[in-house]
Amino acid sequence: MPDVDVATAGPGAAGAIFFNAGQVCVAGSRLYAHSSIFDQVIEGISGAAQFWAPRPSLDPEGHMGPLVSSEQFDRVMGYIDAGKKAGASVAVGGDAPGSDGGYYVNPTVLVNVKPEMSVVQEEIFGPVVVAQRFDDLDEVAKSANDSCFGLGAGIWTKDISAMHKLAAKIKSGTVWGNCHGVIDPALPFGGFKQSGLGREQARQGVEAYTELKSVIIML
Amino acid sequence: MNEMTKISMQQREYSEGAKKALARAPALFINNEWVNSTHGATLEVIDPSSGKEVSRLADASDADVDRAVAAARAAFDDGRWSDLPPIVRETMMHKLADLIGQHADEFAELEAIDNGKPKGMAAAIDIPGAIGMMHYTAGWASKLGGEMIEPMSMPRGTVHSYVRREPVGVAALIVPWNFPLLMAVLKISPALAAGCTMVLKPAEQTSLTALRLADLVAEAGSPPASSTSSPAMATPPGTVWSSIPMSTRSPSPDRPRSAS
Repeated sequence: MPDVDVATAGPGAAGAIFFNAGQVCVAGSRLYAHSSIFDQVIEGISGAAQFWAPRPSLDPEGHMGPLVSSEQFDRVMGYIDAGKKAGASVAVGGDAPGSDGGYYVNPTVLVNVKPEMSVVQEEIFGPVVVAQRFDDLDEVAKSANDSCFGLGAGIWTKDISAMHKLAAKIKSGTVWGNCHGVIDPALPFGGFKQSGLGREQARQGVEAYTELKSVIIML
Repeated sequence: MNEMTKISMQQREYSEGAKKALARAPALFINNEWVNSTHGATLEVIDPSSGKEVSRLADASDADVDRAVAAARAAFDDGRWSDLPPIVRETMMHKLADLIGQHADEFAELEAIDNGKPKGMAAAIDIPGAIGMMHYTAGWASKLGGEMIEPMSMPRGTVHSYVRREPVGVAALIVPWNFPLLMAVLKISPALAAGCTMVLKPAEQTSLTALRLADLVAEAGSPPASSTSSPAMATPPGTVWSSIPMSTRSPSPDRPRSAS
């Protein structure tokens, strides 16, 4: 939302997508920033990309490692290429660093994307965020919901009214406010639409492994 | 970006403990014992930070899956786990969580070698998350229950009616590779708390921490066959269930749980 402190939201949005090299079911991979602050947000995320530069997993200085396998590496690089071919621009990254065998991909921000592009519609599962502008709440709710998925969403704003209205409109099993990816075992976790059936964690998650039996005894 | 800050992309040396874990003979954990697979096939373990093979896993055959399911089925049906006082199950789960904590550094390193995530991230997020999840979910074992409901159509005092809540039976747990130990615990802990037995299938890309967890299961005193591990299926997850013959299905079908 236009009122965010970009100094916090930029790194926050970067963490939402680059943590675990984007291999997270709730990764913040589709970003919508208000037109009035779009360029600053992209700058903020791009600036944070250095923090997430990929390193071997046992390097104590690293915050992000390689992707899990060569298949995943090929899949993610394939999506980046598809995005470029479809007309997206690379704000940062979009390539793999040199290495002698690991499956590293640089943190990537794609802009000038269109909703129908594969990089927007499909789950890349890598350190790639696609960013679009929006101007009003109803419009961004529609854009956010323009997906067959609905596991996690994040809203960054100090406006409590906008926060709660948007949280009610977004079709997602978890909605985060001014944070991302906070998963606590006490709260149910699961998805809308194709993002899953039922909920894990909390009481509901344990009850999912049980069955009810009604017993009716005439006295 | 890596031109500006010269980062060495060489994977660092493994600890002696990790080297020992990687050198283990490939085996399956069924009925609280390490056993060979029926066909002796193995799968590679690759460290994604280097692209190199660092270990091998037992590849469970269809026959192995069948015996894992049969073991879990027998363990459920004879009540050795599900009939325990709930507080006993709860205490065992707390002990298992504590054991993970005692081996936290080892788990973090194995996760980093198997999945590629930084060891520091595994140590800060995955391992504590798994421990917390196991402790939290353990508490539900002694607090699950049904309820007493009056029928709406019968005169008061003529009928005693209530709803029981019972474990479904054997749970098939399929786990992804992005948070291997954390996702395994996410699935194991509610199944255990509910009184179910299980067959756990870790992702073939990342089975190391699930195998290490199997050692701790035996140590935590879980009754035999309360959990089984079948790492690295050669066949895709969907076919695990199609190989279960109809005769082993109970009248109340066991509902398999799929990966999140």
